[in-house]
Amino acid sequence: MKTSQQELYQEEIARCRRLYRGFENLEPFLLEAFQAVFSFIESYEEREGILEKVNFDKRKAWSRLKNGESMEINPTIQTRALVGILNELGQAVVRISPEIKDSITNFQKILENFQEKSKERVLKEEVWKLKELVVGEDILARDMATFIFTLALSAIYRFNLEAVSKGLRTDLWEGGNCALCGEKPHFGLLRSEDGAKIIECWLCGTQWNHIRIKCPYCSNTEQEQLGFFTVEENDSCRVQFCKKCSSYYKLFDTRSIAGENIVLSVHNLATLSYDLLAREEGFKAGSGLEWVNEGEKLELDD
Amino acid sequence: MELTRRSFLKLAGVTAAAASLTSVGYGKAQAASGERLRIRYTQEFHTICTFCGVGCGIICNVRDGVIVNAEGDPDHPINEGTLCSKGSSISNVSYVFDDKGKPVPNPKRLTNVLYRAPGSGRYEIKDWDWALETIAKRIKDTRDRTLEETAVVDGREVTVNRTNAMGWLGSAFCTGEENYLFHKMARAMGIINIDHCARL
Repeated sequence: MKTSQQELYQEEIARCRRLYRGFENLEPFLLEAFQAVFSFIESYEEREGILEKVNFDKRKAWSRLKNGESMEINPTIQTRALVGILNELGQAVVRISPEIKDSITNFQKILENFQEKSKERVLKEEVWKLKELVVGEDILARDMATFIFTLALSAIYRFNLEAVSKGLRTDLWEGGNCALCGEKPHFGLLRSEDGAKIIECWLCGTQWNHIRIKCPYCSNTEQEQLGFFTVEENDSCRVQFCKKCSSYYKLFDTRSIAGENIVLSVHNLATLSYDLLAREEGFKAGSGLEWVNEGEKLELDD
Repeated sequence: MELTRRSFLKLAGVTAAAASLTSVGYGKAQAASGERLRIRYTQEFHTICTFCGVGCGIICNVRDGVIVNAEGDPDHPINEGTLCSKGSSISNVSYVFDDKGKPVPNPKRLTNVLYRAPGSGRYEIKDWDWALETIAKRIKDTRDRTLEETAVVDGREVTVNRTNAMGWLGSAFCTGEENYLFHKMARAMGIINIDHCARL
């Protein structure tokens, strides 16, 4: 990740501040967190390289995607790099709110322990287990754990898969999960030129076109069961839902967002209150990413 | 070693409140609460533009049973998300203007099958199953009643298997393949008056 990318994120944060109410409160932490990840990856890259070998056969990709099979490419993750990023993110939390230093100290102890007993390289599944452990032990609340772990994992994935992702023939792909890594998506966009639904993998950043009126999780195309909600003052974030599998995902309508190079992951973080609304309306995240804590509820004036 | 809650607490030596996004300043609940973000539900439905023979795909946005917006369907192979000026304003077709010039949903919009029996002075509401079955039955009856099996041509009796009692009109909204099948179907029934709606 280059510094220019960091500037891109900063611009996006500024744009989101104008678009979404309440986001300004997350901004200082988000800036700290992105800074922590970017600078870690940059220095780590210089020291020993974070890049893992990715087995990707272009000829096989064509027939696999055509047959509706995702490439399922999951690079191995260097345990040291992962723990390093998670540690930096923990530091970022402490810098913003020093009063929760104790739980971050506990978090770092768990990370040390994880590094000791793990092999040099781990897979995504082991990282999820670590996340569940941290949540189960009440060290990080679910939303913070989702934030920290998705940020760390996606930074490593994107770093390793960016080149492959760009060359992938996603025009052949009609599935709802990621064509490259197989992960279930959490957000996407409506393209400004023609309104096409483009889904972005939160993990590896691959983008692909998906039929507008179709559920990416259960492939339901029954129009009566599909729909979306927006909030009255702002229609740039649509929460799309499917009543058959009771799932939701978010679409950002770039026709109503001025500017180019939109960083969707920042928009996702800026609209976490929509995730809360979706849960209150009875839907669960189709991606499996839980952005809402247990017992977290809307506080209404009336 | 599997790290259990107890072994962890021993390891850490302290217990503390879990760090959440609220603890770094971001309350999702506050962002959505107070003067509450009011939710608006919308449904999307596919349709085909009714104006010309190109047959562009449209996605209609429906809120509380009323069409609020229509846009080109980006997944439709004909128009790929675009619409002409007539097509872009097609959602207005479902509205009429009241005394104050405000658009209101057209109360006369047909939402049922209306049937007027021969000789009757009034319409009855019917369902689609009844309508399609009746149409099929009448086509079959008319064809059976009027089918000419042979005709005399140049003093010779030849097989014709045709009916002059019905005609078949093709549609420019259908694909070439669909129209091919309709043509075959009409021919199979003995219909010889086949025409097309294209204004060429």
